Order: sequence, then structure tokens, then C-alpha cells
Amino acid sequence: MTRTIKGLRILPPFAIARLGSADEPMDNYTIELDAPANQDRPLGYRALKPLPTLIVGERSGEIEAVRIPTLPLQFKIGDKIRPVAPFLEVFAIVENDKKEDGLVPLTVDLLDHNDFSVKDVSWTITVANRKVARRTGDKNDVVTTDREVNKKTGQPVGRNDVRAEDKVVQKVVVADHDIKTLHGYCNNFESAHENFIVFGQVRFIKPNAKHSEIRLRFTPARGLIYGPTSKPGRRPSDSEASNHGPPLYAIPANQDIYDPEKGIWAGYQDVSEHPEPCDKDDAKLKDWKPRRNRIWDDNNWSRDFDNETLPPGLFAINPPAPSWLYDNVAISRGYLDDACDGFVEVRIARPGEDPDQNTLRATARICLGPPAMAPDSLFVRSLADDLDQVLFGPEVRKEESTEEEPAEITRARAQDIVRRAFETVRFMNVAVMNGNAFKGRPALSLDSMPEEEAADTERAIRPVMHPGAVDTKAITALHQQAYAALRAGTAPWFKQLLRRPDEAADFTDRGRRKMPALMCGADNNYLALTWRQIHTIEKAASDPPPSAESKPAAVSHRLTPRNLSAQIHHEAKGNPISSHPITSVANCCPGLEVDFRAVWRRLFKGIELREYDNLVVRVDSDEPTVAGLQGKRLLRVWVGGKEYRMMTNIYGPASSDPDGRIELTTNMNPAGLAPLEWSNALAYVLPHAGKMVRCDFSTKDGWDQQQPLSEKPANYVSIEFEVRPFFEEDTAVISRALAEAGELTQGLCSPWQNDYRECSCYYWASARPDFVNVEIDAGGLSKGDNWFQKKRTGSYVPDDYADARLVMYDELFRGWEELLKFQIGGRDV
Amino acid sequence: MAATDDYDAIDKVIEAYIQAAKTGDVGLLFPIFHEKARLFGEGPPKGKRWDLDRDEYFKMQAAEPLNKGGNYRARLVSVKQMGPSAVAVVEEDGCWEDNVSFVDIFSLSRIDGAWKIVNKTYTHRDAGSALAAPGDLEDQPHKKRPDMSWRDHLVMLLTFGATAEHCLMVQYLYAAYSLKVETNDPPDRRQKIENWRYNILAVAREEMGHLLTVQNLLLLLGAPAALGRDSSVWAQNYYPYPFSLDPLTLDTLACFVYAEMPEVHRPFRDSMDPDLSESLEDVVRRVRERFDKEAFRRPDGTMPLDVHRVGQLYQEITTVLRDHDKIPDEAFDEASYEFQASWDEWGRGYKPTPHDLDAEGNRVEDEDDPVDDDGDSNDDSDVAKERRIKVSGGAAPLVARVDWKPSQMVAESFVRVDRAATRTEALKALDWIAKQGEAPHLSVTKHLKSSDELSHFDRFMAAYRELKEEIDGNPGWSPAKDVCSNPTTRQPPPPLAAGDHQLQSVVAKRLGQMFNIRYRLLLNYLGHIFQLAKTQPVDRPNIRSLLMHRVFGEMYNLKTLAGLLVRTPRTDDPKDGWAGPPFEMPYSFTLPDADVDVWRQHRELIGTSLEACRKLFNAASDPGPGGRRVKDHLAAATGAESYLRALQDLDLQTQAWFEAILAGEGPKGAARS
Repeated sequence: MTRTIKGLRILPPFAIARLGSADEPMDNYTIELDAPANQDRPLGYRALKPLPTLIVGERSGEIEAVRIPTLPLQFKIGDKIRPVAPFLEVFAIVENDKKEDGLVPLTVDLLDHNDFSVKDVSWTITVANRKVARRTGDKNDVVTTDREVNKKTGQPVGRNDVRAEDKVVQKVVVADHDIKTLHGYCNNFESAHENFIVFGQVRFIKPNAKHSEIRLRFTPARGLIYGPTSKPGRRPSDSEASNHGPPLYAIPANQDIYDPEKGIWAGYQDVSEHPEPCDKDDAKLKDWKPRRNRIWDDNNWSRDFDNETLPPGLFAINPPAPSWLYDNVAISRGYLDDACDGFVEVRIARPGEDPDQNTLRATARICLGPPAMAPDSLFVRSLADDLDQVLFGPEVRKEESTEEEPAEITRARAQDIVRRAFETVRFMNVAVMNGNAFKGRPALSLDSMPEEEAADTERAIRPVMHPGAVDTKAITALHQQAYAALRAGTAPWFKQLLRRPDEAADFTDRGRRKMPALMCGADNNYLALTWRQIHTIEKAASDPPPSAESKPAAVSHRLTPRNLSAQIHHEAKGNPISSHPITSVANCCPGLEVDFRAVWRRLFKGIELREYDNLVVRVDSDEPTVAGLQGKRLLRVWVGGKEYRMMTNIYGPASSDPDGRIELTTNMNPAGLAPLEWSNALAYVLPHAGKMVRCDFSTKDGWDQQQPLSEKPANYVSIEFEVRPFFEEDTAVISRALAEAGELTQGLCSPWQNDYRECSCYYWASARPDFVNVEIDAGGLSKGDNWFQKKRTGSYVPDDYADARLVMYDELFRGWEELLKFQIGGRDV
Repeated sequence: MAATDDYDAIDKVIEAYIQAAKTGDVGLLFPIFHEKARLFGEGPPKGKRWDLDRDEYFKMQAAEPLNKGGNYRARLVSVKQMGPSAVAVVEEDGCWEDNVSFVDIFSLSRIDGAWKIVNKTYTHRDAGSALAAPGDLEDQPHKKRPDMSWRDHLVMLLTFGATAEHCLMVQYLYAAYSLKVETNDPPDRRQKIENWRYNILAVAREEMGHLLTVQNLLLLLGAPAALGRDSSVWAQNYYPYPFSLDPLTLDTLACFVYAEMPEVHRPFRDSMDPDLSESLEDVVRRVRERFDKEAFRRPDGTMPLDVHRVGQLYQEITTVLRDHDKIPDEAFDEASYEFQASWDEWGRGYKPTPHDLDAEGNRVEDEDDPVDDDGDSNDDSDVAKERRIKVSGGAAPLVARVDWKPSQMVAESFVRVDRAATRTEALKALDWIAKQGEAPHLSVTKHLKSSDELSHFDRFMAAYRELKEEIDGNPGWSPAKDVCSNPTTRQPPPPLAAGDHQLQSVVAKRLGQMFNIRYRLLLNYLGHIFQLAKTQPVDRPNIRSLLMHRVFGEMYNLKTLAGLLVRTPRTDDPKDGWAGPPFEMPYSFTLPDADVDVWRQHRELIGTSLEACRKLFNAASDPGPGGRRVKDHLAAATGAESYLRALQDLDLQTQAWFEAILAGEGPKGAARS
């Protein structure tokens, strides 16, 4: 085998760090199905299995020990949550004995063999938080570790200090083994040079004799909240109450860094419903609207355009909150958090080598998310599922060939989907999520998907399933029964009951009762699995049953430069499973770890779509036909002679005919159309990367409304665009062209703690639980607590966003680490 | 009716007649006809009398053998003997090339110890006559017994209807479970098999809906639920054919078609598409060949195919129900409506895509297939033509989707669970059962193409034709595994019934026992649900609805255990083939009076299942050859151990649930624990 390094990779190519303020990072662990200890209770919770944990010496920067922690795992130390600090390992492409390229760990020895030393290794890190910039449209609101410096002096410069040609972007470079703290700077901070958000730390781990591999560790931030004071210009007193609740959170002095006179984030609001700033009395906001309009003009947006996210709001607002209970008034407090995402790049270069000529480099992506609060449960649709669909396509095929996937693998994957389905549903108070009244209280006052549906369509709320049939333990048992059947090799019989992605807006009883039920998808409609997951179950239904002769086939995890799946799922030493994509939710509305919707916006070269629908928000071409597309809607894409529509009709039951349905329209949506979430809508387009495809756009503007597609007369214009590749060439790294640093998290809540308060569990029940400590009561029905209940009484408190028995916004901002309880075995730890 | 002591002798006489009539070999007739015997009858052609003496009759018979067309079939329908005199009725079909039918009434006399025909009177049955009705003489609704009221008679008929649906359902399930898909099957065959299975299971699912609808009607009449399978002679009168659990073959599928086929007139080919006609002939021939045998004669002397099909049972029910004198309005308990099973609870989303309406509630026509003023599709494409094969001859033209190919198109199932508060609603519910079963519903809708519903007859007929094509093209191939028929866990004595196959291997026996327990649990839960109906709220989670989930859970268990059984050797001898799900009925379905005792019974059954599972695992852990064999058999049913461990886990959870409920019952729950 030759040992010439032909290229590099960083694995995993996508790692999740998780916030926490404890000094000691979380131990390494995984979760096991069918663990020996659980042999007799295979339907129970996955077993937490401690794994070798790498102990890095604080002074030395070396791995000084490897320890396997004991059970029970400690997720907290005192009241502080232990952060998940993943390692990123460098692998080298070398040729093996069979003259095939393989991936092997890059070690000191391999470096030496190639006439390199550890000193030739350097890392460049760029992470950013664009949550504010996403809303305000102001580039000066980007918080990034990249700094603009004077080309000559190397000193940081402000936005208008020098001409563009005299400044250069300076990145964070790490070449030694010291801890490097990542500071995120922002032009709209009070001091662009001296104020920063701490995004965490990185450390180039010093290799030693026992651990000679090249690796970097990323330690996330502590989950702090930054911003101006709650009212710009003054600090609140402790006694000041936020809408009858706890006192307002007071930003600590060293976190009070956002300048409301520079940026529009403090006091930010949607203008269409409230044309005049509501906080007129504040001197610092009196020119807020003109400043906002200037930014809108710079973006070439109509001044009436509300640059909303989906869901709207998603930021900490001046009380009272939430906005939908108070005339939809949502004025931003100007809070930012220390979540971020971006790139880690490794380079090997000898002194004096031209970095642009250097080919020995690799990149990986990192993101920071909140803790995995139910670490022994997995969500029914994870980021790993969406990435699998990107890698292998929506149809079910064998890896790296056009042959059909072996039946054993399909069967295992189908079982896994059903398993995760009951792991999700057991954290839902199904009766409340169903839209049932709760002890006489009307369902409209409680948060659920039917309530959302009623609000969006202006129709009366109706329970989804029969109100008598919705009990968490009973529904969980039914799912477990289905899972047990699949374990026996029974062909799935329920494919007819799976919701297709284009049925997400079917609000008839038939549509709403499809599976997964009661949960929200990335398009804010009822959740659908990925096409690939659906086709997995369909294929498993037609595959032959298992036989004694068939040998279980395994998905190849062999690390090769071509096996992108193995790379994505690579388990770096020391990384707990909560750093893997399988623990990240994929129904991003907006998401917890990443807003995966963001990755699709620039799939067509030349235009940028909104992350949650088919509005063209930006174009980067001067060509007149393309330039004119801003504000239009992408209606349809043609590939392989087939059309793929980007919207679907919204249907509801017909009042007069139980077997009929009508299109649901409103004044805001006269066409009765719902956009389809990108992951599924573009699944069949993505395999045509590098090719030109025909795209049909509305001829009418669609800034505020969906546009219907009509053939007679044709109301669209057809233009061809090239489809961008999803990954950087020959790697499993999501293309930079699709998402810059900070863009994968920009759609998330600011601060993320706000999302935990506002998003009920019908989004991500096994990540942000709802129903915990669930038991059977004397009547045979489920009873338990609301995860957000301050006192655990066994009597569930439903969430109406006003009940003081639940944790409220400012309490969460102030003490999220103490208040959020980890769930193991469905119970508080 | 006097005992038919000389039945065999009379049968021989008739057999000789049949042979002679078929071949024209009148030499066979001389010994059995009295020299002074005569023939009396009319037609064909219509109106012509044939009143002949013996010799004239023999001459005519010799010149015109009835099997000229190659389709002749005859069967002895009944024999009534009174001492030395007897009357025998014979049905003949497929006579000559015209496929004419006759009903012959033979008068016989025992003369010097030998039975002879002294008279033959016949009725000519032409194309306008019903097929399966046992001749004009018996084409009458089943008479109400004088010791029953009309309401009681109606309840009995509904009970038999439920029984028949239940029997058909388990037979369909058995056949579906027997299908095999092999790794080396080409993809198109695998798709066919998967879709046949899907379609048979879709029918079974819909039959479950029918069963629940019938329970609702029983509730409406204030009658108890009927969840069992009645094997009494009374009930058997209404079965389309003798109950048998068989793997899927053309013969089995022919029986399914036969059970669900609509009222069509014979000879078929005069009234319908030739392909369909040929298929139906084939079906009827197969069913007759299988069941027109002495072994199937009933104690009352009738043959199984003499009697009404399920559809005609419902016709009888409808006739009685419609009669205000027989069933007055007071017989209906309107208040039972809210306690009846509903689609909302049981339908599980199995319904067709709703049709589109505009904002005013008017139907939006499918742009792809506009209909004309008559409601007929204007689509003249070949596909549409293929679909609309009209079957004429009935009161309204019937349409059968017989060219729909199950392997190419999976039609979703539509579980109907209809409730009824009034006579009209009850009649409508019965109409739907009939339509979904046998009568192609498409005949009464204007929007043929927009409907994606298929009747059971559609599904089975299309599957039959496809299966036949596949078998014809691949002689020796079978879609089913070598699964036994009529498996049983029973140990003699008394002796097993002929045709039963004992599950002898340890694994097959235990899995079979568990299957029976789960079957019983399912039906017990169902019965309990109807018992609890009046005491539980409907607007919030309640025990009754949670039991409904248990019913579905047990359905999954039955499906799974069936799948394991057909992969388990029936005995320790590999030549004996595979086991099958026994679907054996317990000694009783009657639930205890006290609710607490019902819960105890559920808990006990769960405990019994856990015990069977434990015994199986113990047997597998035996280090001897017996244990190894058990391990091998478990391994043959790949996934069995994994499933059984999961089932144990579930059963423990279920037991905990029952304990919580019993604890909540207070002292009642604690007593006799």
C-alpha cells in the first residue's frame, strides 16, 4: 500500500455541538436497541451505553486518558448542563494494496511519511449567527468570527472605515494546541471591534504516542442570551413584571452589546400589520422605520413586504407574549443567542507554500444546537433521513448501484421508522394534540395542529381522530404492536395510511388521519415522511418474508472516498450520539439544531428562494428575464419529462357532503395553495445536479400570496436553470454555495430558548417533549406531567401560553439549564 | 320427512340416468325405467310439449345426448322416500350446444326390491332463469319457523349474516397468508403476488366493516352481538359453500368469486362479454366439481350449493326488514345509534378520496373525463372501454371491472361501518353491504371513472383471471406455500374431522395455541366494546375506545402469528409441509355479566398467552435433540423469537393496564384476583 496522501477529509462532515455551561463536556455514549439488559423488554427505551470518553488535558491539549463512564450518565453537573463538544477527525485518502483509494486516519506517522509535520497542520474556522440578519435583511447584523481588517495594518475596520479594496477578511486560524475562543463580531454591536458573542472554543488536539491522530475539538457556547436591555436605553428592575408573570429577564452587562441606534433588531416588527412602530416613545427607535426602509430598498424589496420566517415571529418580544394572543403585536427585544453554524477547514502546507495552490485541505460543517433533552429517544424523521434521501434519492436502491436494495436492509429500515414513530408519540399528550377539549376547556385555547389548521384556514376546529380514541399509552401500544409485527418479518400493511408529501395540506378527515398524525412538517402543515421513507415501507410490503436461508445484509460503512453515507454517519472517537445527524430533527419549522430548509434556497443557480416557500427573494443575474423573477413564484420544475409542482391544494371537508371535499381559500390565500417543503419537493430534481432544467415561474408577482398554475391561459414563464450539486465535489460536505456560515441556523428562533417556549411538542416530541412521567391511572387512561410544568403533580397542565404553572419566557431565558429536565425512560432525571 | 333408507340405491338409479343422458347410451336406461314409464314436459322450444312413452323417450335421448356441447353437468338435488315410493329431483345444465338447463322430477317405485323410474316430469329452464337458485321449486325465501316472531327471524338472519361474513373473512385471511413470495421470483410476479395479497386483505378488511355494520343493526333491533362462527345446520344453510381454511389456489379463489358473485343469468355468454362469461363458467365448474359430492351432503339431504349465497341472504333480510307489518317501527331502538360502532372510530382512514365540490357544494367534474347528460363517460379510450364491460340481462346493466389487473393497479380499500337509527338507514346499510360485496356499485353511480372503489367480486374475479393466466403460463407453479388446510391444535379424542391437519411440531402447536388465544381475545374485546358502549363517554378518551385499539393490536398479532405459522413445519417430518393459522373457536364467546369479571377474563387470556410463550422458550432451551429441533423450527420462522419477546413485553404492559383498571374497580377488582 502506498502511503502518499492524495487528499484529505474531515469526518464527520457534519457535526452537532450542543450548548451547556458546565465546564466538563458530556461523556461519550450511544443508545442501543435490544441491549442484553433489555432483552425481555425490547419495546422499552433505548439503553444508554457509555463509550470510551477522551479526556483532554486542559494544559497539555493532549488526550491524557480514555475513560468509560459509569451508569447512570450525568447530563448535568449541579444545575449546569454538560455541553456536547464533538471531535472532528482528519482522514487521508491513500491508495491501498488493491490500488483503490481508501480513507485512513491522518496520523503523525502518515504526516511524517509524506514529509510533513504536525506544525504544518492548521485549521481555519468560520462560524456565524445570521438569525437577526435573516429577519432584518441587514448585512450588518451578521455576527461572525470573520473580521474585516485593514490590508496594510491588519487592524479591524468598521463598515465605513476604509474602502473595500483596502480591507480583507481575516479568519480564525488555529495552528497551535491552545484553546482558542471563538468571538463573533457584528457591525451593529455597540463596538464592532470590542463587543462579541462567544460562540465557543476550538482546540487542535495535540497528538501523542497513544493518540497520534489529527483532530480538532469544538466546544460550544454556554447558551447565553445577548442583546440590548429590554427597553433600549434603560435596564428593567427586578420587580417589573412581564404580562402578569415573572420579572423580565435582564441582560447582564457584559452581554448588553447590541446597539439599537445602529441596527433595527431592537424594536423590529412586521410592518404590514403595524405600519407605525409601536414603541414610539423610545428615543432610540424614533427613526426605526426610515432605517428599516433603507434596508428594504437596498434589498430591492417592496416596502410592504414582510420578511417573515415560518412560523412568523420566532424571537423574544416585548411583553405581553406570545403575540398571537395579543393582536399579533410582536416587537423584538433585540435578543441574540450564541448558537451558530459554519465551517471548519484543515490544511496541510509547508512553510512558504502558496495556500491557493495547496490541495491538501478539507472542510466540515459544524452547528450548535440546544441539548438533546430526551437522549434515549429518536424522532420519526431526522436530519439523517433527509440526508439519506439526498444521497440515495427518493427511490429505494442499493448503495452505489442501480440494483434494488436487499430485502433485509429495507426491512430493517422500515422497522426503524416504526420504532421511531412510537418513540415520538409516547412523548405527546395525544388527547390534547388531537384537538380534544381538555376538562371542558375549548380546544381552540390550547396549542395543537388542529388549532393551527383552524387559525390558518379560518375554519372551525375539529379533532383529528375520534376524541374517544386518543390516549397516549394506548396509541403507543398500538404502534409497538405494529413494530413487533415487523420484527417478525410481517410485510407492512399500512402503506395506504402514510401521508404523501403532497397531501400535507389535505385537511379532510381522511387526510388528517394519515401517518404520521398530529405533527407539524417543515411546511407548517401535517408532517409527511421523506419520499424515501415512504418508499422503504412500500418496498418492504412487497419483499419476500425473511427466511432461514437469507443472510442479513449490512449497509456498507466502509470508509472510502466514494462512500458518502459512511462518511456522514462516521462516529468519531469520543463523540456521543447526540452529535450525529440522526439526533437532529428534520421537520424544520424552523427546527432545533439546523433549519434544513435553508439549504435548498439556492439550488437553482441564479435565484434564491425563500426557505419555506416558492417565493423568489433574490436574483444574482443581470439578465433581464432572470432579474425580473424577484417577487415571482416558482410553480413547477420539469425533469425527465415529468412535472413536479411546488405547491399543493389545501383541502377541507365539505359541510354538506361527508364524502366530499372543497378547496380552502382565504382572503390572504385566494388560490387555496400551500407550498411543499423543499426536501421532498425537490427530491426528484436533485439527482439532475449539473444539468439545466426547465422551471416555470408565475408571471404575476407573488410577494404576499401564492400564485396558481394555469395552462389555459398559461400564466407562467419557463426559464432553464442549472441545478447546483448538493455537496462539495467528491465530499459529503453540504455545498458552501447552498449555505454560507450561519445560514443553516438563521431561520431558527432568536434566542433558541424562545422556541422551546413557543413550539409545542407537535413539532418534535422526542426532542422537545410534552408528556412526561406518563403512567396509567385508575381508569386505565394515561396521566402525567407537561414537561414545562414547574411542579410535577401527575396532573397534566395543557399549554395555553398563559398558565403560570408552566415555565414562561423570561424564566427560561434566565434559568433554562435548571428548568429543563432531561428525560430518561420517559421520566425526569 | 321420512328417513331415506334406500338412498344409495336410488342414487345409483339416478347416476345411471345421468350417464345415459350424457352419452345417449340408452342401454343404461332399460334396467332403471319401468316399461310403462312416461315422460312429460314442455320445451324446448318454448310451448312444445314432449309427452312421450318410454320407447319414444329413449329414441329421442339416443339421438340427442345431452353432452353434445361438452358442458353437461347434472346433480341430484334431493330425494324424498316414503316407503316403496320416492321422488328425486335432478338439475341439469349445459345440455347440448345451447347450454340448456332442466329440472327433472323423477317418480320412483320399488318393485321387487329394485327401484325403477316410473315417471319423468321436467321443467325447461332457459337463459332467463337464475343460476344458483336450486330450481323453481325451491326458489323461495327461507320460511320463517312458526315458533318464531318475524323480528326474531330477522335477528336470526342477521346473525347468520354476521356468521357468514366472519367465516368468509377468516377464509380470505387464510388464503392471503398462504401466499409465498420467493427471493428468486421475477419482480413482476412478486408485484402480482403482493397485489393479490393486498386485494384479498382489502376484502377481508371490508368484511370486518360489514361485520360491524351487522352488529349495529342487531343493536338497533335490541339483539345481542353476533361475533362467533355458527356451525349449526341452521347457519350452514346460508354459507355459500362448506367452510374450509385452504391455501390460495385457483379452486380457493373460485370459491371466493362464487361467494361474492352477483345475481347473473345463465347461460352467461348470451348476456355478457365472452371473456367474463368463460371465466364465470370456469369458476362455477370448479366450485361444483369440488362440492357436488356426497361427502358434502347435509343431514337434511340438501347439497351445499343448493342454497342461497350470501347476497341472497341479505336479499331475504332486506325483504323482511322492508315489511312494516312484519317488522313494525317499534322494533327499532333509535337510542342505540350513539352506541353503535362508527367509521369514525373503526375506519382507520380507509375510505376513497373524497370527491371535489365547489364552494356552492356542486360536484366538480374531472376535467379528464367529462360525463354526458346520461352520466356515461365520454371517454372512448381503450382503457375506458375495457373497464366498462356491460353485463346485461338484469334489471339494470351491471358493469364489472374485470379487465382491471390487480398487479398493475392497487385499489385502496374502503371500510364501511354504517350506523342506523331507522328502518331506512338500516336498509341503506344493507344495500351498501350488498353492493360492496357482490354487486358492482358502479352500476348506480353516474361517475364511473371517477370512482376508485372496487367490489369484492371485482377484486376476486380479476385476481382469478390473472392467477389463471399465470398458472397457465407456468404449469406446476403455485402462488401458495405448501401450507396445510384446516389446521388444528386439538388432540383426539374425539377423532379429528376429516380434512383437519394437526399441528404437531412443538413450535407449530404453541404458535397455533397462541393464535387461538389472540383470536379469542380479539373477539372478547369486541364483545366487551359493545357491552361498554352505553356506559362510556364519547367525547373524550375512554376505556371502550382503548379496547378498540386492543382489537386492532390483536389483528396485528393474528397477522404476524399467521405469517410465522406458514413458515413453521407442521410436524417433525418435512414432508408434511407447513403449518397454518387454526382460527379455532373457543367453547364460548359469552362474556361474564359483571364488568370486573370480563376484565379478569382478558387478563387471564393474556396470562395464558404468556404461558404458551414461556413454554416455547423453555422447550427451545432444552439441550437435547428435542430442544434443538425446536430451535431449528423457530429459526425457520425467521423473526419469531424477536417477535415473541416483543409480544411478551406488550403483554406485560397490557397486564399492568388490566391491573390498574381492576384496582380502580375497588374491592370488586381485588376479590378473586
